[in-house]
Amino acid sequence: MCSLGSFLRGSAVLLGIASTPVAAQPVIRLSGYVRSSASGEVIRYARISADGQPSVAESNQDGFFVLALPPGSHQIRIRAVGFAPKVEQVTLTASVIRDFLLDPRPLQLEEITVAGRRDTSDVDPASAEMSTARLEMTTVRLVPVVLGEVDPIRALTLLPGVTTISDYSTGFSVRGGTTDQNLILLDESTIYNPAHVFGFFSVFNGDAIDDVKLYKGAIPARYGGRLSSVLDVRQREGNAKRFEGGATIGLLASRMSLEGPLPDRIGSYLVAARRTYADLFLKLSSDPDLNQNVAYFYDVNAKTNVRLGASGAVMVSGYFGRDRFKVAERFAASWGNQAGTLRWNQAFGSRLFSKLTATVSDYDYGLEFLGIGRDLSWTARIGGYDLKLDQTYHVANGNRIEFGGALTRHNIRPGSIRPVGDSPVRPLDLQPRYGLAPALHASHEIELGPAVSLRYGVRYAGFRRLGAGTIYRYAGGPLRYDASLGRYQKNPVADSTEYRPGETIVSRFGLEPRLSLRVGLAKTASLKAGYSRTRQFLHLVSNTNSPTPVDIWEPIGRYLEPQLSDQLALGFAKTWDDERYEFSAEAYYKRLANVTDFIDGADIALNDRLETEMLQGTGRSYGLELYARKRAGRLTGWVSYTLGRAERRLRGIAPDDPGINGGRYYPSPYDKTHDLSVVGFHPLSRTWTVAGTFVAASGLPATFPESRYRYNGLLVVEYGPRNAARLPTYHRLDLTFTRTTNRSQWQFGLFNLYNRFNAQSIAFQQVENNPLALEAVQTSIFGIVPSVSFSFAF
Amino acid sequence: MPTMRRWIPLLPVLAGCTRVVSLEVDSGPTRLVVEGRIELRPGDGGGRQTILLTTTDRFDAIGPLPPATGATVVVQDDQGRQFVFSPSPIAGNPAYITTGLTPRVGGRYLLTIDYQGERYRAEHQLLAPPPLDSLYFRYEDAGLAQGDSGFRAVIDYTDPAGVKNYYLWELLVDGERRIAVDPGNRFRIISDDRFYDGGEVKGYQPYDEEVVEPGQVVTIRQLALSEAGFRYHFVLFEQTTGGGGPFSTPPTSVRGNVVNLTDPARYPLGFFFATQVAERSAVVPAR
Repeated sequence: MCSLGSFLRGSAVLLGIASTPVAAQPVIRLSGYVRSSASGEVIRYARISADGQPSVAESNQDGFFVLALPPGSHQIRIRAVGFAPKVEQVTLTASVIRDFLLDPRPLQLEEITVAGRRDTSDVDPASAEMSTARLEMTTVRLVPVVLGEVDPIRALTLLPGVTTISDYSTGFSVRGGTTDQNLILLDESTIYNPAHVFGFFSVFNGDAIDDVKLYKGAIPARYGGRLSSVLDVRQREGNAKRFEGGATIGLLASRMSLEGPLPDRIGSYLVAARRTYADLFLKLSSDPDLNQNVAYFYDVNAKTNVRLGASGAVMVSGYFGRDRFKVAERFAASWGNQAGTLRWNQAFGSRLFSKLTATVSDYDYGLEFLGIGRDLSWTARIGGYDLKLDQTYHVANGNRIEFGGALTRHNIRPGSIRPVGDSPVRPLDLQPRYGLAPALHASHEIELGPAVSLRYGVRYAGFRRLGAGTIYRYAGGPLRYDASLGRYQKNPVADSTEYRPGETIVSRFGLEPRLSLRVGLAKTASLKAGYSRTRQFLHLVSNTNSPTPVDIWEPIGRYLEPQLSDQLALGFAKTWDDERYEFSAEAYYKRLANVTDFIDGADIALNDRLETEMLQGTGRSYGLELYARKRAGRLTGWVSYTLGRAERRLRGIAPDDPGINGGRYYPSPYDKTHDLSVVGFHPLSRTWTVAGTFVAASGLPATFPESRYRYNGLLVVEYGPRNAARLPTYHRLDLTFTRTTNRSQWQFGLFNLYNRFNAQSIAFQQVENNPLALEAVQTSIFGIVPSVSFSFAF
Repeated sequence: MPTMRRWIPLLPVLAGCTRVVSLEVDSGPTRLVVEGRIELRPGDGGGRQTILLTTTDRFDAIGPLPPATGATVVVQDDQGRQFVFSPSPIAGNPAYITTGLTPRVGGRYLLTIDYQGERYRAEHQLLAPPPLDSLYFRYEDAGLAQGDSGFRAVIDYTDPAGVKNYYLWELLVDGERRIAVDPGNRFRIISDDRFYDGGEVKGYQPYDEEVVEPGQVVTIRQLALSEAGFRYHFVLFEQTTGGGGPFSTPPTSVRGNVVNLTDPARYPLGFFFATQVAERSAVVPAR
C-alpha cells in the first residue's frame, strides 16, 4: 500500500487544503473499544489485526482503535498483555463501531512475556515511537520495592534514561533534567508534587492505577509545558460487571476500595482510599512528647465512567490527598494535591475520535511556627484549570492525523503569612501570579511503505502572564555583580508598574516542532530518529538539594524567560527469536536555554522579587542508553545502562561577570555518568517466583570543602567550586520472593540485601561536642530492609 | 486476574542512618578571616574595641584556627579620627585591640587592614537596636522540639514601626558566650522584622536550645544588623548546620563585606559591622 498518495492526502488534510479524500477502493472501518470481559474496563495498547491484511491497529489510551479493511469476512486477532489472545470472525458490509472483549488470564510470568506485546514500544522495530518508557502494572508489582509499597515511578527508574534522585524521593530525573521539568498527569490533570511523607511514597495508589507511560523525548505534539518528560498516569475505571469492595487493616496503613457497575449498567465507578496511621499509636503513648505529635497521610482516588452507546463515554475522575505533620506545639506542616478531570470521548462516524477534557488541579501547603513569641502560619498554593480538545482523524490504516488545542489558566499564590494566637505578626500576602497558556497542536502519523514511518507535527504554545500585579524596575537590572565583594548584589528598585486584573504583563509564544522517523532495516530491526522542541513557562523555585513540600512555582515574567529545550535522538531497535529477545540503543543530545540557578546564598523564602536571586543560562545534556530484554523462558528480565552527562552554564549579566562557577559548564544537580540496572524474574516452582534488582550508578555531584575557618564562635566551611566533586558510587541488590495462589499473594522482600551504606548526601559540620573540629557526615536512607506483605483478591 | 489487591507490610524496618566518613579534599588558598565589630555599649566609657584576625586552615585540621599575626589594623571614623588596633599581648590570641574608640549612632567606620603585603577594607555605619524590654526565664519540659528540660532565657522587645530592623542576639552565661550548631539558628538568633514591623514581641527565646541553671548570671545582648549583615548571618547559620544535607540549601561560600583591594580574587572571609548594644542581665531563679 502506498503511500506517497496517502501521505500527501494526510498532509493536505492537516494543512486544511483538501477536504474530500479520493478513495481508491471501497474501505470499511472497523472501530471500537477493546475491553476486559471480566470488568468491562478498557484495554490500552491492545493490538488488532486481520488475517491477510498488512495493517495492525493499536488501541489508544482510551482503549479505542480504528482498522480499515476491505468489505467481506475477516479473522480479527486481538492481543494484549495479561489477556488471552482472541480470534473473532467479523463480516463487514458497512463501517461499524463495537466492543471487543478479551478474557483476562491469571498472572504468570512466562505468559506475560510471550503473549503480551512489549511494555516499551520504543523498542518495537515496527513503531515510529521512540524515547518512551512504559511498564505494565503486572511487571511493576513484581519488581522489588522498599517496604513492599508498589510504586510505578520507582519502577520506571529501572529503565534507561530515567534516574532516581535519591532513595527517599519520588522525584526523578529524565535524561539529566530536573524534577520540575517532568509533566505529571493523572487522568490528564496536572500533579504538581507527587510526594507523600517528604517523598518516601508517591501519590499513586497501586490499587487505583492502571497504566503509566513516560515520554523522555520525541514527545507527541499534544503534550507541552514541561521541558524533559511527560508522565501519563491513568486511573482504573472500575469493574463494570459486578460490585467488589472491601477494607483492610494493616500495620502502617489501612485501605479501602469499592468498585462496581453503575445502575442499569450504564458505566462503572471506582473509589480507593488509604491512610497511614502510625500517629494513632503515638496518641496511645503516655509520654506527652510523643502523643502530641502527628504524622500521617491519606488519599482518595475516585473515578466514574458513563458509557454513551458503543461510541462514546463520559468520565469523571478525582484525586485528593493530604499529608499532616506536627511536632508538639512547635511546628506543623500540611500539604496535598487535588485534581479533577471531566472528559467526554466520542467517536464520530468511524474516522474521528474526539476527546474534550476539562481538568482542575491544585497543590497547596501550610506551615505553622508556634511557641516562638511571634507565632505565624505560612500558606501557599498553585493551581489551575485546563480545557483541552484532542481529535484523532483516521485517514487510512497507518495514516492518521491528530489535532487539537488547550487553554490553561494558572493561579499561583506564592505565600501568605498570618498571625496565630496572640502574635505581633502582621498579615502579609505575596502577590498572586496569574497566567493564561493557550496551545494548538497538529501532527500526522503515516506509514510510507512497510519500511518507513513518520510522525511529524507542531505545537504552537504560549503563555500570557496576567495582572493584577506590581512589576518592579531596577536601575541596571535586578542584579549586579560587585567585583570587589565577589558576589551578586540586588539593585535598588527604580520604579514599578501596576497592572490591572487581566492586563498582560508579558507574553511569549513559539512553535515547537516534533518529529519521529522509523526506517526498517529488516522485519525485526529498525533505525529511528526523533526531534522535539519543548518550552516551559513555570519554574520550580527550590533552593534545596531535594524537592520538599515547600515548592514555589514562578511563571515567566519581565525578567524570567521561558526555558527551551531542543532534543535530538537517534535509535536502533532489534528483536530476535520471535520477539523473545529485544535490544535497543538510543543516543540523545539536548540543548537547553534559559535554565535557572540561584546566586550563592540566595534567599528565596517568601520573596516577592525572585528575579534578584536567580540567573538564567544554558544547559546541555547528552548520553547513550542501552537496553536488552529477555522476554521468555524460565529466566526473564532486562539490563539497562545509561552513559550520560548533564551540564549547566550560567555566565552572569555583564560580559565580565563570573556567573556561577566562573561562567564555565558545571554538572547539573542530577548528572549521573553511569547508571546500570539489572532486573530478573525466575520462577522457582509452580507458586514461587524470585525477582531481583541490581542497581549501580555514579554518585551525584556534590560540592566539597577546600578549607575551614571560625566566625562568631562557629566553625565554617569554605567550599570549592559548585558540584565539582561526587558522592561515592551507589549500588544495591534487592530480592523479592513471591508466592502466588489463585486468590492471594505473599511477598517477602529484602531491600539492599548486602546492606550497602549508600550516600544520599555528605554534609560538613562542626563536631557536636568539639567546637574545634569539623566532620563529614554521610547520610544513608535505607540499610537492609526486610518486608513481608500479603495481598488477596476477591 | 486479581482486580483488587491488599498489601499489608508486616515487618518494615527502617535502617537509615548517618555516619562520619573521611574524605580526601583538596585544600584551597589560605584566606584572611575578619571578625570585626565596633560596639557602642551602655555606660561604656573605656571604648575598648576588639577585632579578631585569623586565617583559613585545612578542612580536616583540628584545634584553634591560626591567628593572622603581623597585621596593621586601623579604624577611621567619619570625623577624621583614627584608631590603631594593637595585637593582643597573649601569644596565639587572634585579637587586635584598641581603647578610646567610643562610637556614636549613625557614625561611619572604615576598617583598613594591611596583612602580608595586601590591603583589606570594609566600611559600616553604626546602627541602633531598640531597647530590650525585659529578660526572664521559663522552665520547659524536655520534648522533641525543645531539647532537654530546664530554664530558657526569654525576652520581650518592641519593634519600632515604619523602619526596617534586623536583629542579632547573643547569650552570655556567667560571662561566657554560648552558641551551638543548630538548624534553627538562622530563624532565632537573627531576625528580620518584615512580618511583625512595629509589633510587641513577647516571650521570645532566641536561644531555646540552651538550658541555663538556677544561680547563673545570664545576659542577652540585642544588636542591630544592616540588611547585608542580616543576609551574611543568615547564610552563615544556614551553612554551618549541615550544608550539603538532603533538604538543606546547596553548599556555598559565605561571603562578607571585607574587600581585598590589592588582589580581589584573594577575597577574605568574615564580616565587619558597627552596632549599639541593648542588653539585660538577670540571675536564673530556683525552680
